[in-house]
Amino acid sequence: MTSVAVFKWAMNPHDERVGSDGQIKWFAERPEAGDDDYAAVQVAHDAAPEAELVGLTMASGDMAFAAARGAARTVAIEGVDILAQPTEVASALANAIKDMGDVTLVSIGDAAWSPMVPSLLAAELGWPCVLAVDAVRPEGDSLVVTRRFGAGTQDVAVTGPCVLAVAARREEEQKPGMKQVLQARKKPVDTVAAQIGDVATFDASGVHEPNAQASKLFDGADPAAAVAQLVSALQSEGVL
Amino acid sequence: MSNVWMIVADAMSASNVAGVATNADAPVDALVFGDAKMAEDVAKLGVASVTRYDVSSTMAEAYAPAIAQKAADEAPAAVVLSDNATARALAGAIAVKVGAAVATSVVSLKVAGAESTVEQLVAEGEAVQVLKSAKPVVCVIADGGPDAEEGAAVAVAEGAAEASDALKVVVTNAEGEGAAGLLTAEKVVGVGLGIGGKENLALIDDLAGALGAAVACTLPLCDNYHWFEHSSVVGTSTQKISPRLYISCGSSGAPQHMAGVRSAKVIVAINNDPEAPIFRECTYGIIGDAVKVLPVLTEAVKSA
Repeated sequence: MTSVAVFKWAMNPHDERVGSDGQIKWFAERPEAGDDDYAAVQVAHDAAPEAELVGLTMASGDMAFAAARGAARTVAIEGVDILAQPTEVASALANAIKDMGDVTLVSIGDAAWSPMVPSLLAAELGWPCVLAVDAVRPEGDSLVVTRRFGAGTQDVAVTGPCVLAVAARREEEQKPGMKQVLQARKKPVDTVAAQIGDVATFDASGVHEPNAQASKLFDGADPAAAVAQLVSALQSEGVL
Repeated sequence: MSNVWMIVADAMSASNVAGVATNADAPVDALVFGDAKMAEDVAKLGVASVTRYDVSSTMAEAYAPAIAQKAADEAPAAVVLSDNATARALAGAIAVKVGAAVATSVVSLKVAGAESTVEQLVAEGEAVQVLKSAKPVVCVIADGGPDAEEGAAVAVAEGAAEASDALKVVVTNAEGEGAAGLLTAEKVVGVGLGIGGKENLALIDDLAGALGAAVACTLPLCDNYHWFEHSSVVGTSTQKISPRLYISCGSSGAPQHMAGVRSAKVIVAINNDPEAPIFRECTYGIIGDAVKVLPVLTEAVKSA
């Protein structure tokens, strides 16, 4: 039985820019660790503490992220373009997971950077998915998954293999130390070629500037004058 | 002509979803996963039909295989949704079932015959990319889009779908009043690190009191400074709010925070850094020291 924790799979939109030629360019060459990735590894471990935990990534470079947090080994998917669309990313992840064989749980960050990939991945695998996951615990033959629900939370019993998309509530409190990272780098890393199925994608046909939404700014050097202008504007908007 | 589906699983984003869907030049069928009130509200948003799925005793995600099959049978040209977790879970199943292309941060959709044209925000909102597909499309809308125009209500039909046995609700836990208040508040005053010392929080409370507003904060004020409970944090990893008025005091406008407030109708920023990113996203801004501006603003609100 194997649990998979997906990490470093999404591009950071902060690295996306409009070039001088008006085209979209990426100022990074690979996905980077997202805010939720550490929590995804933790949830994969908590869901099945006795199972083999495997890290799955699309990154090149340092791939010890999951291994430093307890994964026994790492599988790195090679050959996914940085401009890959959500359907392509999900397909590549799903096919790599299918090739692993005995996987019963996939944990992935519920990333704002690419919010559709977790549910697409689940659908590609034919498994149910729960998004916005806080925590998980095994209970009998099921998992009890705690997810965010409205202003509160909801506990959900999940039977059978599933994809859990984890949304970290805060930054990682205890990051692995140098010793753990160095030991993690000695763990096995298997590099596999990306297998992207025949999935639908968009054709990009152009880029233009967004509709102008100019902010109206007031100089606060004179607070009274600035506030008077602001209050007048808010009354005009009907919100004051 | 193929129809457009809109998936609604939360009341907060319904009007924004309809704002994109109803401008697609195709009839809109709304699938609502929630209570009768939410469905009745959606019925006024210019849609052609509303089908409500009762989720009081199951979770909407358990309907995903059945809804995906319904999509395969009815072949909508496009499916529009917000980034609500439940809606995304349903849309993922639909996209794979019907072989749809998927786009996020979508600001507009047009359906013309077999081709759909989608505009999505890219480069953190600096540009709009135009995408085309001759296949079905799934569109997650960008936050803060225009509301749909309300019109005559259509009838709400009750939907029936087989729920998967793999997912069962065990218990639902309501959280503290802070979070519930923020989610429904019409006015919210937000505070960030730029407020300075903890003693200045009284200025925030004074303004919130004068406005009848709830108080929210950025993540560092909770996690690093422990000035607020977690239920007061708004942002990507916490909660998203959509008040009519959001006044941000001393927040730079980090993407993590703005993702939580972008759906506000009017955003006001008060910050002494003219280069702060929030001044590119706000409706109105005062470039000045929040500690000096806030007392004046509070008195002005009381007098308004």
